[in-house]
Amino acid sequence: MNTKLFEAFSGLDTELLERAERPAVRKKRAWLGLAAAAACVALAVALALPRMARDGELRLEGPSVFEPSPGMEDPGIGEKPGSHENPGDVQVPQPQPEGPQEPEGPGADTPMEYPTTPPELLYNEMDTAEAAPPAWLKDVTGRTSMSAWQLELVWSADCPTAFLEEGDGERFYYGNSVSGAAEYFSDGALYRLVLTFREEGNPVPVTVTVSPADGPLFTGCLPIEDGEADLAGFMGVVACRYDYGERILLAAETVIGEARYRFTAETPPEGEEEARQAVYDAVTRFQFNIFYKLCPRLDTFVMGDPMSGEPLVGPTIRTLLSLRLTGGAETAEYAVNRDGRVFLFRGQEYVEERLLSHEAQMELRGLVEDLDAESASNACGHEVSELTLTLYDPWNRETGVVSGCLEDCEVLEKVVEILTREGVLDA
Amino acid sequence: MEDREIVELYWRRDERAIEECRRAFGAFLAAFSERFLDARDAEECVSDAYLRAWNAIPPDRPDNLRAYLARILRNLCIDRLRRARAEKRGGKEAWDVLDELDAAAPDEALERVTAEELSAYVNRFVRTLPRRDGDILIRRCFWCESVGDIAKRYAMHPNAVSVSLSRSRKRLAEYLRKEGLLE
Repeated sequence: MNTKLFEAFSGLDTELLERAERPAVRKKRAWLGLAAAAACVALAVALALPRMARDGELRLEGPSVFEPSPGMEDPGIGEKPGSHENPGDVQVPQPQPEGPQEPEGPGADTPMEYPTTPPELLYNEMDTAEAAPPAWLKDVTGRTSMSAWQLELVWSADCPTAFLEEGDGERFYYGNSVSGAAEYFSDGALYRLVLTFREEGNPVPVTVTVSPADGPLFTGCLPIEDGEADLAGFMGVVACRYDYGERILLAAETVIGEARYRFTAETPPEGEEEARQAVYDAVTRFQFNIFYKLCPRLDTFVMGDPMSGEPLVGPTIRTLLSLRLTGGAETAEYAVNRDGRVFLFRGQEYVEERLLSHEAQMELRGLVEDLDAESASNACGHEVSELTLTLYDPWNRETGVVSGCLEDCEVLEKVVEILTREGVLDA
Repeated sequence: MEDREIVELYWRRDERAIEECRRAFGAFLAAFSERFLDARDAEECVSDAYLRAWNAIPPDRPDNLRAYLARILRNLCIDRLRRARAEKRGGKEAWDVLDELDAAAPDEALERVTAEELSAYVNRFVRTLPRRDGDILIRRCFWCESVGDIAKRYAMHPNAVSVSLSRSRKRLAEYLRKEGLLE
């Protein structure tokens, strides 16, 4: 029995074991990683917030997006942004620093003001050119409410597919694993991170604003020295670090289309290192997630569940359907995602990935989305070659299960036919 | 009782140390070992782990007693696993982890290095991974947690966990190859 590598894991440093033991996610707030990844603040505020970058200085002026307008109600769902000066009431718990409390954290009554002293630019100088959204990005809208947030992106088919080649070729996997990325620190300290992204090779200062409906944005810090490499491609990163002695503030912004995304991070100095790693993850996921979303094969993508107010799975690539085939002791599962990628799993082991043709994607999508899952359940009870088709809504929640033998179910037969034609299933 | 207080009992050769360990970590160690072995073998390994700790402290003075005991227990379980596997007993999560890692880097390809030396490389490798992927790998390969439990912990879809693990194992193999350890 080969055990060498397995045994080697016994020698893992205690620090790494402790790290993996820390609660990484509060399920209740798992969506915050995605809120942090892509929640849209009121567009009007975003547009109203001037940004100056001169000679290496980054100075942010204008009303804070965290400052609620007087008498502002929850904008509710369905209302277009821009009808309010600010996003939904953002109640952000305040840290309790021991030293001077500067800058103030956001809250219902406390406007957040950007520091007026020039920041220390850690790397990359801000380009002074005005931000111009990519031509292929047609529309971005967002809504926030007290309990949820929503972002809608629409893009044209001429989105440069080169973006899909960025990174190490495993870009897709990050998109799949973005759910549950939020991380909190148990001391309750608040961290806010603002990042500025710049398109590599074509400096377009973009602003990312993340504003969850409630609770802190997300925690952690960007490891500045490494951030650029990972966020190169569609978005570059300029992180500004403000050192106030008792507090460290990191700030940056990103704009995608008309949506302004802002992250701010504030931490006591002793928390900076730890915070960096956590936010690095969140930011990296956000970046992969965002530019992966801007894929011509995807439809308009809506994140969030504003109707129920439930925590959201987030803007991952949605699973269209999963098909499980069992024959004897073997189980193979094919997870077909909405962008046409098909993942094959045997048991719990990931085996390979295929890509469906655009035509097959449209066919499957039409088939699945027309299916009335509630009335389609059809268990034939056969044990051999049983097919189970699980359907998912845009928020990755199961909406129905259809199971049975091929001969019993027209939908199953059609799905299998399409996957066989595409070479995913053997004929 | 705090870890350092229990460790102090060990240093004073006070047998209450073992009782305190049982109280603090007994359930956890039992559950951990049962990821490797059936209940009978698992219980024996846990008892052996307490004994090993008694013999090792002093001179050891661990800061994190839970991790320390887990490490001892894991190694004991691996030894017992060899025997159980040969006798085709069990079928626990650890066996799957073994197979996964063996597929990534089989022993035959790691001839130039001992398991102890390999540990240093594994540590360095895990630190190169994004935090979440590293933690997932640790939870799978050290703690032998099931994919389903890992998915629950991180509020991820199990498929996403599988993909993360697969990617990390591929990267590990590449890393070892680059370091000249993997033939």
